[in-house]
Amino acid sequence: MRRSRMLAAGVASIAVASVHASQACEPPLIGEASGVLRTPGRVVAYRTEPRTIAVGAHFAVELAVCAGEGAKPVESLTVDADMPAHRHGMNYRASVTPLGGGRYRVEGLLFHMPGQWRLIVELRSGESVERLMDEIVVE
Amino acid sequence: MVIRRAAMAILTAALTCLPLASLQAQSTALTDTERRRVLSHGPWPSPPSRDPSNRVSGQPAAIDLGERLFFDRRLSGDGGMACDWCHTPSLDWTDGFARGVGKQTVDRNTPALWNVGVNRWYGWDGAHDSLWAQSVRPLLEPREMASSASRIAERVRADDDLACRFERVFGQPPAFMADEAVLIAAGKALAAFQETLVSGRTPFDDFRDALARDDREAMRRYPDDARRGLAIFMGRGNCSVCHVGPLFTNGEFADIGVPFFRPGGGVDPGRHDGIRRLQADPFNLLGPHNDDAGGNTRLRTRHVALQHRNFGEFKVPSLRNVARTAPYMHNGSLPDLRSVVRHYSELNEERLHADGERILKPLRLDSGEIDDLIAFLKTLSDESPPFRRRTSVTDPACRG
Repeated sequence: MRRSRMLAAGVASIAVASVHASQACEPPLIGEASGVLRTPGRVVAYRTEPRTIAVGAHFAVELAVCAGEGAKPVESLTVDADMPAHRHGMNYRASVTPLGGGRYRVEGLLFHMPGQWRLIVELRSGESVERLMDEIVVE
Repeated sequence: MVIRRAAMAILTAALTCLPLASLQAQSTALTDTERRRVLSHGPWPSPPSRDPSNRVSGQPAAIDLGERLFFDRRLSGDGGMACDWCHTPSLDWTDGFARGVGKQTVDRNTPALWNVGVNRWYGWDGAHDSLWAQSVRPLLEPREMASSASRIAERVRADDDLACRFERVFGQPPAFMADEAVLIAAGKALAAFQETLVSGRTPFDDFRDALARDDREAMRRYPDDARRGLAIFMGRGNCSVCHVGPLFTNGEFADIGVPFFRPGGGVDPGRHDGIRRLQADPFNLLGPHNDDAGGNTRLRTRHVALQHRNFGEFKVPSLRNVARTAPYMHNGSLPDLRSVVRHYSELNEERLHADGERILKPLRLDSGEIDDLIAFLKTLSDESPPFRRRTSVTDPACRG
């Protein structure tokens, strides 16, 4: 498995966020991150379990979010994944369990084909939704 | 290639369209990516594993009991058929028919049981999430063995030898067990037996292992046509997108344009109905019969997602021993490997689900390429000796 580039796409804006703010906060992830995603207001760090994702095997994600100065805290988040070249997503719907302190455990993910996947994290705060994506190649 | 049961993907994305020309020439010239792809289909056999949802999985006494039950006709409604009626050992644990024939002809092809113990989902539609739950299904299905929990429990209790073996395996005599508990126990013993049906090593495995140790002389023993077929399988054909790993399946489901109209009318919704049935099944892994309390076996059932694209999807079958398990596809509509390869070569895209796999395109193989792909598929079959019963119904071991 290799992770290629990081993408962050704001679906709705958080007007008060700034690049400075996101750079200032440190997601409270325990252990070494597999990926770090940034928006102007927030930083998401995640770690997959197991670290190497195998085709056809369930894996989990430990995820931590922090909000920089002026950014609203995240109220909830969802995690999904898709294969853009194949025009389909996973056959499973991941569940997210808040662990407190900005940490979350995501379970039920399974990549059923080798190739390029997109891990999609949606952060919700009030009416605002931010979508962050990370590209993961599974062999 | 989803032969007997699902999809061959033709990946057009540049990411996975890697040239495998070197495979056609000399395997020693494989790129690192090509080498990793070949190696990912092994080693074989995989290390033995037990099913945590079945507390008797892997236990010799349970395997012995399961084998007895597998061949015991008294378990069927009228005492006329056992599991081997459709899963015949001499026919590679299938029946050779296009569609299975129990008390009546059913809608789907009878899957072979090779390596059935390591599946994630069971049945063409994945309506069951464990081998023991799947083993119960045909016992109760009116068109197959047409039995019932009470009938099975009654017959087990009435046979002193079977009752004794049940008690040894499950810790209590069936006379003190509820009918449903006996039924589930029978399913778990049947599963323990079927877990032992592991296919043997194949010419492909020899090639794959020779590649792993860089044994060029051994690699040269792999036939040239099979090597060219392997190149198509993992390269231009991208069959290995779905037929991945040592089992040559990703264990999931796909729509590959096989018509899903039922012979008697109506359509077979495939995976869509399978998920609905799974979720309603009292014997699924979320229920009380799962012996893996709090364990990870529940993950797949808890998280599986019902989606519109599941209509017309059927299971991606393993390709191990595929050359011996004709006919193919979920409805047995393709009689031989050549017709399967032609199906993918001339794929009718109009039959594919609008929400379906984008990478499926006609392969447009010429006759030589079709021959090569078939030659490769044939190297996925073993030459194991025929199955021989390890138990005898007249063995009085437990009676002593």
